[in-house]
Amino acid sequence: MLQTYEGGCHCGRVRFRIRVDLAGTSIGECNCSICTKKAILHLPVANERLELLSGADDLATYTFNTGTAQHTFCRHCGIHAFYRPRSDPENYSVNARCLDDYDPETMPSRRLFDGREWESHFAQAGDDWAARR
Amino acid sequence: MLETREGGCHCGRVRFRAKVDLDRLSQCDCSICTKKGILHLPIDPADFELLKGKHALTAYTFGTGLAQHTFCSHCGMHPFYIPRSQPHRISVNARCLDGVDGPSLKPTRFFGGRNWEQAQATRLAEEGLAAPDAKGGRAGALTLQAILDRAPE
Repeated sequence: MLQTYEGGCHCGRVRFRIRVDLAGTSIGECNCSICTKKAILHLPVANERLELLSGADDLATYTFNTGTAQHTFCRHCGIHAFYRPRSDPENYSVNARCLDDYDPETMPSRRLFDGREWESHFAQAGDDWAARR
Repeated sequence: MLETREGGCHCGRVRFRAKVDLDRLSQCDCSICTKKGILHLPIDPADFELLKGKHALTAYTFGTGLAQHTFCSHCGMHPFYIPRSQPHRISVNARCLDGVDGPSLKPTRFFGGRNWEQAQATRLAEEGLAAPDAKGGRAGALTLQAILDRAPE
């Protein structure tokens, strides 16, 4: 069942609201170079189900390699609340750590995306990834 | 095991070298450590060398202002910072060491930063330490400045 959650960066400038079915959507980790450093816990959210409440002008965007992924973060506190992933750039990956209600006990990572072998893993898991929205 | 490792942000502007012990990896559940997902390796600043990137760093502060949450302004990575609990030291983010795989890093220590005062009192008692000198609230900023001052331009 779709439910509404809010979250944001740390300084409070970037705030978002999402609608997501947490029971039917697995939170995941990725072991690629940037996800390792960001520590992001990926919660896939369809484009139309994320509303940016504030902070559009406070977001900086970092890109590298193919340039597909848009790694957005708050330029004031450096927190990566959500981004557009290379695996599904039309939609969002919200960082579950940045939900107001984040609870590591009830929101554990349930899948691992092998981003170190991105092409081969995406070929196997890409459709599945999109379907989890 | 104490070892000398290098690491940095993602875009490569910020690089460091540090003596760290990955067997003493620590996690904290406070508001900002949760969002950063940082895995802490607190060390003496003498064991830390900023190799490049001093002008790429932004420092975010809040609350008491003691902690200096530094991140790369270009890619947003937090490779190290000055912690509130130990403002005379520097905490290296194990996730930003070269050659690590995030999901395989397993912290062995825990700091209950959601109840910060209690966690700090417990830690100091366990380690037999006195509370660090906050230097009028400027201890963290002074530690960071000293590290930046001896880093190359």
